[in-house]
Amino acid sequence: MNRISFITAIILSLSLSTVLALASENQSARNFLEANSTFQKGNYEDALKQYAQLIEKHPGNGHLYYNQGNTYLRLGRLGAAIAAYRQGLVFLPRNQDLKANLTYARTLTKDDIKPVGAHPLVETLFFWHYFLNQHELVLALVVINMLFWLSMACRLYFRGQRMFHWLNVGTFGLILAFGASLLVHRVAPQTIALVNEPEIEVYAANRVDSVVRFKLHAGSEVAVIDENQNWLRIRLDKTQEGWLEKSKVALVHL
Amino acid sequence: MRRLAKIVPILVLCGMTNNAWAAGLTATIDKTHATLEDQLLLTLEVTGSSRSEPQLPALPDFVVQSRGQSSQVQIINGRMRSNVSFNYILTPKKSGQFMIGAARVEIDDEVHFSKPISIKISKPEAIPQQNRPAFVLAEVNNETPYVGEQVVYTFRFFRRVQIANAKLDLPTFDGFVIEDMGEQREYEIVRGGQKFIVTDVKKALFPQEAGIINIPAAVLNADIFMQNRKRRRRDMFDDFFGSARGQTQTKVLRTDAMVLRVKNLPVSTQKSSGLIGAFDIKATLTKSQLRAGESTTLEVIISGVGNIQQITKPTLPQIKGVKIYEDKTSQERSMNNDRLRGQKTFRWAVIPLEAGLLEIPKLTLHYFDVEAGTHLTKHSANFLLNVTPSGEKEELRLTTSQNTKSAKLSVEILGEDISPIHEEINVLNAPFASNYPMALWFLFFFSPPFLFFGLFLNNKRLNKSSAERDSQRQSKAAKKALKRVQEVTKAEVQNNIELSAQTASQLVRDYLGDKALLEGRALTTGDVSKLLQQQSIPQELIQTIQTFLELCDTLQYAGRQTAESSTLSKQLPELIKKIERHL
Repeated sequence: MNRISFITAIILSLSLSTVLALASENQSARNFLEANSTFQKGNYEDALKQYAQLIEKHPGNGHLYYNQGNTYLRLGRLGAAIAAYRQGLVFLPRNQDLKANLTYARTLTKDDIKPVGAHPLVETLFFWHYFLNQHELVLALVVINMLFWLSMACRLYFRGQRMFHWLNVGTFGLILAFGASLLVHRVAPQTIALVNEPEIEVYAANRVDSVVRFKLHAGSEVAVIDENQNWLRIRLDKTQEGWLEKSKVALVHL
Repeated sequence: MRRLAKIVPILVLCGMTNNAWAAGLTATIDKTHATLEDQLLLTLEVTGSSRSEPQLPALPDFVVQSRGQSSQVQIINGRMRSNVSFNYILTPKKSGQFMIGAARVEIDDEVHFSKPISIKISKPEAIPQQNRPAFVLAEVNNETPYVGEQVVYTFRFFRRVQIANAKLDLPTFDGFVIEDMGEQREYEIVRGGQKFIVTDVKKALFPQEAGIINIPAAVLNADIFMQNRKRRRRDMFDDFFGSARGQTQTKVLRTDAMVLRVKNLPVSTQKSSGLIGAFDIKATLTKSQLRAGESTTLEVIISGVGNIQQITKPTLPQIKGVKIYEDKTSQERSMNNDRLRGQKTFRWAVIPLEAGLLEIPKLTLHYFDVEAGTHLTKHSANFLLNVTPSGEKEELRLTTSQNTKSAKLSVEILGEDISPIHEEINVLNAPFASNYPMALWFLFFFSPPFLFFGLFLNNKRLNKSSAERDSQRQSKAAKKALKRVQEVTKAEVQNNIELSAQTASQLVRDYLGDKALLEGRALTTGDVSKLLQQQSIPQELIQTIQTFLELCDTLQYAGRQTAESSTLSKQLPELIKKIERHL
């Protein structure tokens, strides 16, 4: 009797969790459609709130960041729009809509600053790092890892077969490449700051009474190299550095 | 102490006196009576600690030019005095009595003013022109021109002395279109018995509207070398080259202002082309006999004297069955006897599309002849085109592009906007790493190596048991062989030579097979020999084993009984022990 009750309880709890998950999915879908409808009606402020709530529930969904970026752009908030697009590209690195809108948004910026990113040659050499998102990297790593150990097992039983030897070497190399890429994403992500206000001042030190070294305008992208309480140390190019107030920029971890 | 009390007030008083004497602003002028041709030098001297420029009073009747500043430090009786002088050149605009008001400067938070200066500016002396060292004149060749008629403005500079730094400011000629009449001309002339060098500057003016138009005075600034009227004895202070006989004066020479009364053109029944002067129109055609689809060029030249800039392209009338394409236009212009002369050439490519006799009509030019005082009309010649039929369908070539590549247009970007939002509901179900628990990824990643190590250990275990079996087989080979010697002995007792030889041979082979982990019974005598050689067995022992096995084979297959046939069982233990020692 006890065993029957236990099994019944397990089945009921599993069914309940499945039903709850489906209900949550349905609710998200409704919210998504509602947010899109709000956007299409031109009520961008409300659409922005709805997309933000959806992103809280689905933090790894690049499409939501894309829609959020469009909403910011319609509201004229250039820095936030570019930040949303760049965050979206982290999850959808090959999405052409995202790339096109990011390029368009960058044409609206005032400052003549090269966007933070790798050199095209580096992007070509380490293409898997820039053209695959983290999910794809993990998936690829798991599959290649399986192939590696399978080839190892084959070598136990088919001694002297060169094919398994080279398969072993090849898969090991791929594990190193994909593993290093994932490690860089996880352990040392590059942080960029996007100017979120019409104009901000970059100081020589992390104090407002220090010398203003230069000014940046909405949408400018700079690399963050240090952080100190409410201040960020940024690098404009190889020589220009300065401090800016954290509250005036949007941060994106690549 | 009492003596000190007397000295201190004196020192303080001296200091105050010094300060009061040091700070101040003084205005001086080089002459208080001048003519309109003269320039005056106004100097404002600031004494004291300030080096800031004083504020000049309003001087609407003068043109004021700054001429820099100079500073001076003086030490008199141990007391230092510094002053800064600011120099200004004043050029009078008109004659009369004028007051140069007080200039203002602030020194040590105290405002100081200069004293006003009264000056008198009179008209230049009524000296006959031939007696003057230099003078200027301006004239126009026509004071009552028609609208658009050319007027020649001439500025003349007469001089009979050396000049330097001449600077001419011509009037702006508001209400006129101006045409340059080339380089200035210089020549000599005798006037009133005096030889003058004359420089002419000419402009062609074309009035744009009827009415009274003023031409202001032209102004020439120049440094003129003036000779002293009275000769005096040279003294020792004159320089060697005798500069004491004359001096350089900066003079401002002005022409008289002029007034032009510009008349409207007389009313005409024809539409005015705006051309005023004397003009002509001519037309030529490169060929009048051609086939349909061929091209001929019509050239129209409008030339004349007057406002040639007003020449516009004549309008060709539509001719049925003829296509007309505009060709390039060229222009020539020159000055001849102070009159602007030139021509414009217009060209058209004329292509008849059908055979027949076609007429290119005459073209008409209307203009106003100044000398005749009336509107005139001139015509070009008309032409007849004799067009013969074409062998080809030329019409088609005319309407298709000759160069298909150039016909392509580059895509013009008309507007920019962002791509629309993603609205498909399935984007919410897109797979992302964060959708799956980390433990699942770890399970997928680390389970293959675990499985591999399981397989590895199992494989190792299997290998180990196989080796143990081989080792036991090798170690028990001798014992097993010696045990079987009894079977050979038994066969010998039964006098079964063949069986004893067969058993002995199999025994040795099995023994060697066990030792080498091979199937012993399959070994031939040759195989045994090779096997033993590989195991580094002495050649003598190999020979012994080989001889023994050959004996066994002989006894087994020949069946002959020899002395040795009953000793196999005795040889075997000894032979196995010998082999055992070396394996």
